[in-house]
Amino acid sequence: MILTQSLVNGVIRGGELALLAIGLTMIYGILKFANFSHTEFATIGAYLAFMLTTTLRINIFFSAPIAVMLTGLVAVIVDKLTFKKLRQAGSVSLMVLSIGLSICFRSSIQSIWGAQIRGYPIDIFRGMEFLGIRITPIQIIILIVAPVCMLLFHLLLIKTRIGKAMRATSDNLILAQASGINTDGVIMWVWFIGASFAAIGGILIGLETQLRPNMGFAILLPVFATAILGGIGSVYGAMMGGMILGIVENIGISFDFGILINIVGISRPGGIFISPSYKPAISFAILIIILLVRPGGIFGKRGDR
Amino acid sequence: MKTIYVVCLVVVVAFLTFLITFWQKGKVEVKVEPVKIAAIFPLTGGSAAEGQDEKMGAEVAMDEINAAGGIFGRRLEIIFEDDELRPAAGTDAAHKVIDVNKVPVIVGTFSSGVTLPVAEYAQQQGVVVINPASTSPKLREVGDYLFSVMGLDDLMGKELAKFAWERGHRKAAVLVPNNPFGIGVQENVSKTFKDMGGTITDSVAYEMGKIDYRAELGRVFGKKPQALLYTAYGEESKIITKQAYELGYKAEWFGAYLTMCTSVSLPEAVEGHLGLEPGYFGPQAENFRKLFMKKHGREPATSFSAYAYDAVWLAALSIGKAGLDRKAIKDAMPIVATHYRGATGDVTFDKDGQRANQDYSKLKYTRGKVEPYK
Repeated sequence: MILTQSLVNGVIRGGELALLAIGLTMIYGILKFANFSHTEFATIGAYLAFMLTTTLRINIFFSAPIAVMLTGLVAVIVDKLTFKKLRQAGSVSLMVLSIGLSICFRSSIQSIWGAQIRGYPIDIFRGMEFLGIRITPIQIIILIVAPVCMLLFHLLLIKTRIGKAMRATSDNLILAQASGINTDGVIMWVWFIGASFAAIGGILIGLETQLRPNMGFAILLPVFATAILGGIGSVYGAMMGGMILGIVENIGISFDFGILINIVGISRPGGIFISPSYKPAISFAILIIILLVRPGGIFGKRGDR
Repeated sequence: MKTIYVVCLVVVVAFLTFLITFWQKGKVEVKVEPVKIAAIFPLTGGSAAEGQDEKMGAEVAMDEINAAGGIFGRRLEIIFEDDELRPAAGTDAAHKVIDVNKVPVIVGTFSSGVTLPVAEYAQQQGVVVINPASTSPKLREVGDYLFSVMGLDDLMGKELAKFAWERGHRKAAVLVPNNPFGIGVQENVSKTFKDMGGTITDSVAYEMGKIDYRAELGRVFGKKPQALLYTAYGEESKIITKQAYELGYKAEWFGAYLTMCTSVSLPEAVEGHLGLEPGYFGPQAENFRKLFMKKHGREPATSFSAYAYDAVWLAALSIGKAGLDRKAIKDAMPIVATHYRGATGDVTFDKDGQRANQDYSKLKYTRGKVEPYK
């Protein structure tokens, strides 16, 4: 029963990780650099939605989509002003720039909204309980929104012209350019969609928990782990990676390792558990194990690295 | 042409400098330099509500002292700094007030995790720290320049365990923040509860500054304890109690420093929580509450305001007795404390400069506020 609960918690967490990792992995796929400022878009989206709901008193169901769009626009503008200028300078320069930007974003948010914890003005609900699983209405929303977003993105990639162009650009930027694809336009769309997805993830995290200026930074490493696990550059890999990490993290801390030790003949009353504080460490352990077996990640292209 | 501009500029600057110096001289002649002390509290961050409450209490003391004529005829001025509930920010603030403002006394902070490094630096520099709120037993080891107005946790842990035992609970879990304060509570509460014959089903020290504590909650409630013995900083307590409410865990909650745990929490999430609070029972307590109401227009949100009030008074009385020499202030502190009857009662220090006697009151949170438990 505890394991089924962990499974549900894991799927919820996995959905959030995947939403954040999609943008990260797309940017890497096309521009070939690790964007350390990516999860800050989640924080920006979450705080924009907070601003719209509290100061302009717009219902969260309307303010969230507006905030998502605005975050996408912020990303496009940031790209125009900074990343675009350094595009020829190589991946290390771009990465350092992204680290600087992430500090700028975080500090700006803290100076505007303060360091204290904020929450969306929504009512608090007792969780529902069925089949021994406890779940809150917000979590049900996450369980619906995350897969729908991913499905929409999948349709965009395979059915539309821009999706086709994205895949082509991701495969080979120069060849795509030579074939007449407007790669600048594609890059703009990638920033917009990637940041929007991050914003959706950020708002969902904010709804489920609380808002804090360092919320994006706090989830940066698990998101990187997700992207690398799935095979960096692969969108479907990011979705898969998110699910695996989310589930393993949650089952890892509720699993009684005492059973394993019992086999050796030592038993301890109360069992042996990993402290919840080590939750992020579990994802890295899994990451290392999978990379040892498949160095390119689960969906990594053959010959990569 | 250019030289004319430069000459004009020089003349203007010289004139302004002359004006400013002259104007300042005129002011200094009538004004006596105030006596400056520093106060470092978590004005933002996870315990902003408690930190602001401390600041308000300190301001009440400052106004009262100045209305009574100040310290040897000089006004008392408090330089407030923010530690954000982070040790690094607290240490930065301590460096600033000691190295730049050269204060003889610091009142602060709130969290033991911050007070420890602040007090250690002040100890090296020979600056007196009066701690109004931190309660880790580790503070005892810092040195002779640290004085605590609130009793340390050796007592609190014991009393909280007894409280739960008296309510008939035999299986309890423990949840505390992972810092010197939390671990201090955890050790004392677990030891007492086990010594009485109870079982501690699980004990979790949560990582501070997160926005999600469901994993920790899942662990402490996993083996269905009858009671949860806990303590948490305001904003974190808000998340923890909200998530526990949403997940529908059932157990009776016992909070150490209950007003800290409930200060910003959602009322429905902490309804029925029991707990302990260092009381403020002195004859001066009523006077303090009246002054606080008059200045700030509301009741003190936590008891920390009264402790900060007493800390500022102790600082002022010691400076009044010993002058501005730091060592003399340190030596005067225990004597002053023995004679001082503050809002929080008898603040007499033991041989380590820690409060010798501490009363706790049993409280219950119902319908949006804490009431005495009967």
